[in-house]
This record gives sequence, structure tokens and C-alpha cells, in this order.
Amino acid sequence: MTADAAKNGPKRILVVDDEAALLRALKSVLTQRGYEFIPATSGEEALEYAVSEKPDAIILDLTLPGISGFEVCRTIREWSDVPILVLSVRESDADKIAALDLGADDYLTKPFSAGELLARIRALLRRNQTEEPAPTLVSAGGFEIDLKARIVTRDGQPVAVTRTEFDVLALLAAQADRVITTRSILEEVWGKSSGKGTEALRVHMSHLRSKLEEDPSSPRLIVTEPGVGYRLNSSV
Amino acid sequence: MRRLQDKAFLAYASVVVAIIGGLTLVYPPDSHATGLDHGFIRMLLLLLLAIVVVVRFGRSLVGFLGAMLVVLVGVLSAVWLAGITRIDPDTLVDLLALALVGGGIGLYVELLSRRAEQAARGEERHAHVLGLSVDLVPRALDSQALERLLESVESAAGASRVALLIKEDGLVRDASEDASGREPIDAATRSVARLMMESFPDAARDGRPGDTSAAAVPQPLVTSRRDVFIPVISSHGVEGTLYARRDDKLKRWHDREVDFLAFAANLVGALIEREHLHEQAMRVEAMEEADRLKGNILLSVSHDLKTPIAAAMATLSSVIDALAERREEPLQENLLSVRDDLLALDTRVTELIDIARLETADWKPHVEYNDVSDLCHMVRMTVSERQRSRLVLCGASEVPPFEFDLVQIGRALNHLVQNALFYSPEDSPVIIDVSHTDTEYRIAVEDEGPGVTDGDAEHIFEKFYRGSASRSVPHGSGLGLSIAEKIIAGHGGRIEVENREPHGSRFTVVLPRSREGMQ
Repeated sequence: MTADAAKNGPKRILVVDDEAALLRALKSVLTQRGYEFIPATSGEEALEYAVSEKPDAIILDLTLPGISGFEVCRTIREWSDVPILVLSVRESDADKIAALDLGADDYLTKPFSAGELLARIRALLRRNQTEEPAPTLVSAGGFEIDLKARIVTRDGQPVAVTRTEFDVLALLAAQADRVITTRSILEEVWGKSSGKGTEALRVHMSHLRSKLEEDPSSPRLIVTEPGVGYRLNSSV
Repeated sequence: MRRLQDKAFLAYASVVVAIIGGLTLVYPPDSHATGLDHGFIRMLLLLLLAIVVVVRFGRSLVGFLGAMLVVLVGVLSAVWLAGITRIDPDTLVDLLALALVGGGIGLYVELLSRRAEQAARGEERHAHVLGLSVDLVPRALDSQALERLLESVESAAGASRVALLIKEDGLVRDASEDASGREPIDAATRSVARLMMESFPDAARDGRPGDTSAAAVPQPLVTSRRDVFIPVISSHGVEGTLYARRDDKLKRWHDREVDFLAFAANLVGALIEREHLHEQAMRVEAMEEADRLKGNILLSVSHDLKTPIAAAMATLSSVIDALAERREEPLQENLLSVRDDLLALDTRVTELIDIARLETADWKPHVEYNDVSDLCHMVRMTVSERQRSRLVLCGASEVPPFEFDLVQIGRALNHLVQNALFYSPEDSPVIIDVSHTDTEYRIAVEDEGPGVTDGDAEHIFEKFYRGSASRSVPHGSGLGLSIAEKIIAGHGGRIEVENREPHGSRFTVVLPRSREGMQ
């Protein structure tokens, strides 16, 4: 068994896609890594298996005949917190954001590499795997982010960040390796009715990067997901 | 009641009354001046009336002679009836005067009636024209409609025959000969028509537009008492000749009637013009529909191509990773190369989808505040690792976040950068320089390649155009610059192309700074 299949037996992944070729490919990728592969070819089947098979994570293609991927996402979220990774085509940024807003946890654009897929699945499963409360200490990119004490340190030395900058950083760190939409950040950090726009966020990000990134023009710790939001890479 | 309102009739009536009144004054019933009695006078009055009527209906010269004949007959019979054997000179003079006055009055009445007739004809024509215009507005100008139009013109103008002569395949023919079923126009007439059409400078040949300035417009030609030729003109030049013939030798073509025919010719010209415009509109519509269809087909085919590529990619990358773990380098090398080919295929399909989507009317950029550094970073990430070291980015930190569609502009820039990387030497840098002025943002992509020739500069943004540099080494689908240009244009911006010294090119994306510029 590989490291991916952790305690409590192999993780069960429900994969929903109406294209047989893709299902075949994903089956080989996932089973090779020790995951249990449960296929579904339509929205109806997805909802059925989500209940009967109790998967640990769901990979969901947005372009489904009949009940759409969005509908599936929304419905499942009504009664379950199971991690959902949506597969989308390159053009539809609006689709990605819509899916994330409806409750999906992350997305992948076709074509993707096996490595990308597995990394995202790992990140999603890691989150739900533990029964402990959310971590208060996140380490990434050589930094230690103490969410409780609200300080950032590097090799023990504190790094000066403003209150708002820390709020943004904390939000990304709490959901490390998962994408957070721009709108979510704005709402969580500034509040729903603040009217603060993306301009402010971009400026804060720019400052954060200049403080934390080795090469601010080539960010590796806090990555922009174009058209969608941001992601903190803990493995940098 | 209409008759009483008729001015002509009133004119008659008033003249007759005036005559009777005048005579009664001059020859009172019991006058002794000429020794004539009641009966004779009454007869004279009746005679006068007869003269007037005869002249009126006899029409000019014939009428006048007839009237004189009537006078003669009348006088003779009056003399015979009255038993007068000797007429004295005074009476004769009076009678002559009477005849002349009567004739004059009759002539004047005739003139009045002619005018009345012309007015009536004018109104009739007016009504005809009104009827025609209502009739023809919604309809296309086919043979039958044309024939109907010409028949109306014929009756309104008082012609025996009206035809539209056009030039087709070098021959002059009657445009509505299929529908009319009448005897064909003779060769002589057709020759005159040809002369007229050809004498027109820059006359339309094969439908190309001619010179239609006022000075060049030919005038109606009346070749004889019976034939009129009028050019029919549209924006394409002389379309044909309107020919009208009047077989009645006694009636010349009046200026007014020729004017009416000229009007009819202009009407035909306008209708032909409308046909041209209609054809043009249909052609444009057909082209737009074809484009739309093409876009739809392209989109659906491209999506179908994407899925097998995605599936192959996932499997392949998995195998590559597994091989890497087992340290099987050679095999891994081969598969990496296959993966690169797959990526290239995916890029080509993506470009097809992009161009199809950009050409639909409803594509609009998704504009929001973005950091230029993110833009540069995106471009760096899409360049292969090998080439990444060639990129030099500068100026991004000086430009504050501004509003643009990050994804789209990123793609546009990516195309420019890929071009720059490919067409310049492997060891030369490609510089991405970001700057801004009061009115615009500028992102320049510079390379040290051969530069852009003047001949290419006009066409490089056209779809599938291959410049001189790429004709020997084709690269990509030929759509990259076209896609970039459409994206930037959708933002209200433009791409400037210039050459660098000593050699190289600079493609600058210019985006307007104000929101309005982007609408």
C-alpha cells in the first residue's frame, strides 16, 4: 500500500464523468495509488452512489447530461461535507467560481496531469481525515504561521505583517493547498457588505508577497488562480 | 356635382352666357338697326351656339373650317327661311363679325378645354403613380411586376408602347419580353438604345459602378415625333433605356409627357437600385450565417477533441511518474516527448476553440482589478521550463493593480511571447516590459529575431497568415496573433508593431486607462 492509502483502509473516491475514456484514465491513476475507484456516468447515478457508497471524496465533471454537475454539487452539500473536486474545461472561469460557490472544494482544468490530480485529492482528504480540530500552526515555504497567536515567523524570527495581511494569510493557511475564491476572501476578511473591491485585495497580496516570497514576481507560496482566487502551497 | 366644380365647364358656361347677354344688348329684340325680327335673332343666337360647339369639338383648324361652313349654311338657310331676297352690306358685315366672334370664342373654349383635359390627365397620372408606388414598394422587381409598371406608364403617358431595354451579354433586349407577349422591339430602336447606353461615359459594364455625377447624366432623347429614349440610372451606372412610342402621328410628345416618362425611368432606376441593395444584404446575411455555423461546428468539434486528449494526458502522466519512481530514464524520456506532443495538440485545439469563441458576437472580457505581476507570472508559467530563463520581466512592480481580464490578456500575451521565443535565437532574451502613462497601460514584448518585414506587417494579425519568417519553418496553427489581436480589441486596446535596432521586433499591447475605453 502506498502512503496515500492511510489508516482505516483505502480511501473511496467517487468519480462522476460521462466520458468513458476519462473514467478509464482516472481509474488507472487512482487505483495505482491505492484508492478505491467508484464510477458514475450521470448526475442521477452520482447522487445515488453518494448516498449508498459513502465515498471519502468525489471527483465531479461539470459537463454532465441530465442533472448538471452544479446540481449534484448543490444537492450533496445539503446533507454532506464530503470533499468535492470539480473537473472543468479551460474557458469557463465562471463555471469554476460557480461550482466553488455552490460548495465544491477545489477544481482542476482539463487536461491535467496525474500528479496534479493526486496532489489535490491528497489535500482534500488530509483536511477531512483528522478528527482533531483545525490546525493552529501551519508551516509552508519556510514560514511558520501561528493562527492563534497571530504571528508569522521564519527560522524563529518574526516577520512584520499588518493585521489585514495576516487575516488574508490566515484564511489561506487554514485551507492550505485548496483554492479560495476572491469573493470568499473579501467576505471573510472584510465582511459581506463592506463594498471593498478586488483592487484592495490585489494591493494587500502584492505586499504579502514582497514580504514572504523569495521572488515576489514569481510567487510560489501564494499562487494566483487566474479568474478564480488564490491558493497557498504548503509544499513549497 | 363634380361637373359644376369643374373649372373648364364653368368657363364654357360663363362664355356662353356672356355671348347671349352681349348679343341681346347689341341686338335688342325689337331693334330697328338691321331690320331683323325676333325669330331671326333667335336663329342667330342658336347659330352662334352651333359655331362654338362645332369649333370646340372640331379641334382647331378642322373645327374652324367646319364652323365657317356652318355659318354659310346657316345664313343661307336663314335667308331662305326668312324670305329675304336682298341682304344689305351692313347685315353682311354684322354676320361676318358674328362668325369671327363665334369662331374666336370657340377657339378660346377649345383652348380652355384642352387645358382642362391636360389637368385631368395630370391628375390621372398622379393617381396612377400613387397606385404604382403603393403596389411596388413591398414587391421584388420581377418580369411581371416590371411589365405591369410599364403598362401603367404606357396608359398614363398616352403611349402606344413602353419598354425597358437592357444590355445583356452584349445584346440589347426588352427586359420584360417574357412577360409581355407583345411584338418585339425592332432592331433600329435597339441600336439607338445601345448608342445611348454606350455614349454614357464610364457606363456600367458588368454591373460595376459608373460615374453618376450630375454632369455625366444623359438627358432624355426624343428622336422623332413618335420615339422617346430615356436612360435608366442606378448607383451602378446606366442600367438600361426606357423606350416610349406613340403611333398617333398627329400628337407630338409634349415636354410634360416626356417629363413624366423621365420620372418613370427614374422610378425604374430606383427599383433596380433597391434590387441591388437587397441582393447585397442577402449576401452579407448568408456570409454571417455561414460564419456562425462555422463557429458552432468548430466549437463542438473542438470540445470533442479535448476529451481524448485529457484522458490520454492523465494516463500518460501517471505512467511517467511511476517510471520516474522506478528510475527508468530512457523510457521516461520517450514518454515525456509523447506528453509534449499531446500538450502541443491540446494547444492547437485550444486555439481553434479560442478563435471560434472570440468571433461570436457575445464574447466580452471579464474585467476586474488584477495585479500585473500575476499577469507576468502566468506568462512565465505557460512557457516551457527550458525557455523560461530567456524571459526578462521588468516594470511590473511600478504599475498598480488595474482593471483587465487576467485570463484573456494572459493568453494574448502568451501568444506574443511564444512567437518571440520561437522566432529569435535560442540564447537571446525576450523582454516583457510593463509601463503606464496618463492614458494607457503598455506591455511590450521584445525579441532579437529578424523583425517584421513591411509586407508582413499589414497581414500578421490575419487568421492563418504565415509571415516570411515562418513559411520555411511553420510553427503553431497560425492563429496566435489573430487571437491576441481579437482579445486586445475586445478590451478597447490595440497591438503596436515596430522593429528594433539593430534587429528584432517589439509587439506592444496598449490598453486604455479609462473604463469607457473598454466598453
